[in-house]
Amino acid sequence: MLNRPSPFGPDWLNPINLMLLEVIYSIIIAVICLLIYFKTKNLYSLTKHEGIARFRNTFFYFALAYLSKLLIFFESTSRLLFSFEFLPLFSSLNFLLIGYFSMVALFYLSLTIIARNIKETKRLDLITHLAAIIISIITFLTRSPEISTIIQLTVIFTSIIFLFKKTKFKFFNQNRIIYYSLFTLWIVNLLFVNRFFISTFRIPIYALSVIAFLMIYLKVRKRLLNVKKEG
Amino acid sequence: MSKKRDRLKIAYDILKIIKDHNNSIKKTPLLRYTNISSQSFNNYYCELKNKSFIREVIDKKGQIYLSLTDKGFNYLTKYNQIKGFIEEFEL
Repeated sequence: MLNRPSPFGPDWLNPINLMLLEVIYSIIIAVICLLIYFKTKNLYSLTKHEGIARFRNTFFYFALAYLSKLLIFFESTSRLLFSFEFLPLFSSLNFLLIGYFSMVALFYLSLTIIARNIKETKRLDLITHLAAIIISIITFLTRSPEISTIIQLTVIFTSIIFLFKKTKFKFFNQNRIIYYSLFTLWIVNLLFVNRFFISTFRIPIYALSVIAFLMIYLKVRKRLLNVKKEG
Repeated sequence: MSKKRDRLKIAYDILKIIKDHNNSIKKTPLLRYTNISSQSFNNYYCELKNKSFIREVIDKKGQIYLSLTDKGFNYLTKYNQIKGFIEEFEL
């Protein structure tokens, strides 16, 4: 009798453990993102600086995107494993929400990275949300999450090319490496939704995602703590 | 230097001038000290007033003096923090 590998990954990663892993992971990411969002609230309220607003919004929408991903996981896993539908009414809405939240998060992340190098930044917020709504509706109606993934990859590569042209050899720095890691890890995270066959990489990818978000949070915290000591 | 950093620096300079003049200065000398055009100054003045960084105080002779609010003092204190944050994250 052939020993088939578990669709869920290593032997210890049974459905219950997998569910637990997803819950803990999603909550950790959401909490880190929301901590970044709320810790920078005062800075934004004092300045109404667009860059700070975009930076905050990036993490706010990432928090919502990761939580939506968790709901999709619950919905798909409960049907497959436990023969009941968890939140059946929300299953379609979840795909719409994750599409919208993730598009907005990635758009804001792109703007955070490139906004210094573009002159006209007005109405970008409106364009961001409109584009995200249109893309998520198209994805939802065509039942093709691949469309959203392809567009997100296009956004990443476009921002890389744009920024490289503007900055040339000063392209690489710690911030951009972390920001583009967030991009990439989110795309890979999306692949785990309903894709059990690559579960072998689930834990390392999740660990890297937590590390990337944590690095940004620690930088924010360090920056804000330093100034409290100064004044 | 990007326009956004200039905007924050100019706001800082205006508030600092007010603070350095015993937190009470008339609009005309403030304009002179800030060294920006009167149109720009009026824009900053309106913005700072609308956002409650400064307030107008009218004395017994009916003359208007400008002074900082708590929010204005807070901005001065946190300016380096704000500037450092924007620079660190390249915003």
